[in-house]
Amino acid sequence: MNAATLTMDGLTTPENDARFARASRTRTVAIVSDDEDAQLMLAYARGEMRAFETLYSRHRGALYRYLTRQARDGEIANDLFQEVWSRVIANRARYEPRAKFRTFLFTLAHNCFIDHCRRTKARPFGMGVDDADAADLLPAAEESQPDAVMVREEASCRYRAALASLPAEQRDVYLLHEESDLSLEDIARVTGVGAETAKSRLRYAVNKLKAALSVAEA
Amino acid sequence: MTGSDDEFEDFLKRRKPVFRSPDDLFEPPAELDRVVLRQAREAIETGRPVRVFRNPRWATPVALAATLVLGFTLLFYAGLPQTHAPVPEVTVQNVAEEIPMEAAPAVAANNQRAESSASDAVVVDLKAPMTARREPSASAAPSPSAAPSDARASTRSAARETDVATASADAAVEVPTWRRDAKTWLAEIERLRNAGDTARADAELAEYKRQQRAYAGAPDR
Repeated sequence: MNAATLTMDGLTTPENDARFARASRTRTVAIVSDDEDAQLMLAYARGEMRAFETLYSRHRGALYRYLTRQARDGEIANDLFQEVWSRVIANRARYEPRAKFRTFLFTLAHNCFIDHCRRTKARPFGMGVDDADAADLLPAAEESQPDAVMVREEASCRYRAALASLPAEQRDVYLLHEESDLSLEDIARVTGVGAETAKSRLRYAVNKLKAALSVAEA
Repeated sequence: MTGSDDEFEDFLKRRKPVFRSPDDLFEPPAELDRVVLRQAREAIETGRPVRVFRNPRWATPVALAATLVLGFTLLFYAGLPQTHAPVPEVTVQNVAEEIPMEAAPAVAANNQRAESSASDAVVVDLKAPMTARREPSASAAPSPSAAPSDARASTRSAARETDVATASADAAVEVPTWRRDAKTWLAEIERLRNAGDTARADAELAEYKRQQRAYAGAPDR
């Protein structure tokens, strides 16, 4: 898919602005017509509420987990989650299926998070939050069964702590891969970097997670 | 490293999960779902366009200005003083219409007298001296042997006869026979004066002069 396939609101990073400025000049557009989610979005734009409900049910969990693990704060994640869907709803008339809907959605989410960091003057990447504190900020599992739950809860806690210990850029790429089900090329497009850079970041993230969890288990 | 590379490739291709456990698949709270779905529903419900005719921006001020101008114009003309109605013209037709029906037989009678007086004039002319006798009617052509002055005089007298007959018909008044001819009229005036009836002679002379003045002002025929 060409680079000039995304025209979406909420792209506020300088890298994305420059990239999409180049894209608008080249105007090579590929319409993704076989994406079912894109068709649902178009149907919602025509006024079909059921299409949106289907779309929402498909992507609500992944988006929420991505934002939660990015923001590492439940309240902030809720606000960002609502803001992302608000932008989706507001731009329904202008939506064009030039890329997968999931790519569109997570690009919005990525930029909403960056905008939030700019507003709060927080560094979006490399916050350096303590692992233990980061683990506490994440929501716990909803199931409540005695011992098994405790075991699983411990594992989740370790995972979240390891995730929080990653550098922000690597965490971002890793979460997009884990939650959005996007290809490496799409992840690169969302984060505004090259495919090889995205792949490298992801590799580093995986290796660090493995190391952190191995240490934790030990 | 090849093992880790293979593992990473599997991770990339999502063939093998690496770290995440099912417990990590937490979902957003139900309240958040309701908020988002309500927002989506309200967006499409309010977003449906209502076809409303939109006036151009300039339409309202122009309409207001036109209304004000029209209103002031009506008030202005309504406040002007009423002008008098023009006096209708007095026309012959109007006067003719005012003739009562009772005068119609008299008019007919006068018309007959006018016609007969023309023949009387002929009778009178036959008795008059030859030089003043011939007084042909207005329609007849003057005799080429008659003098031009006599012809003109006869033409004028014939016209006067017609006018006198018409005036008599309109006025519905019985005209003495000597008045139908200027000479006979003057002769009658002389006779009255000689008879000592000076007042009546003066009255006839005044009437004669009045009618002569009226004819003098009439256009030539």
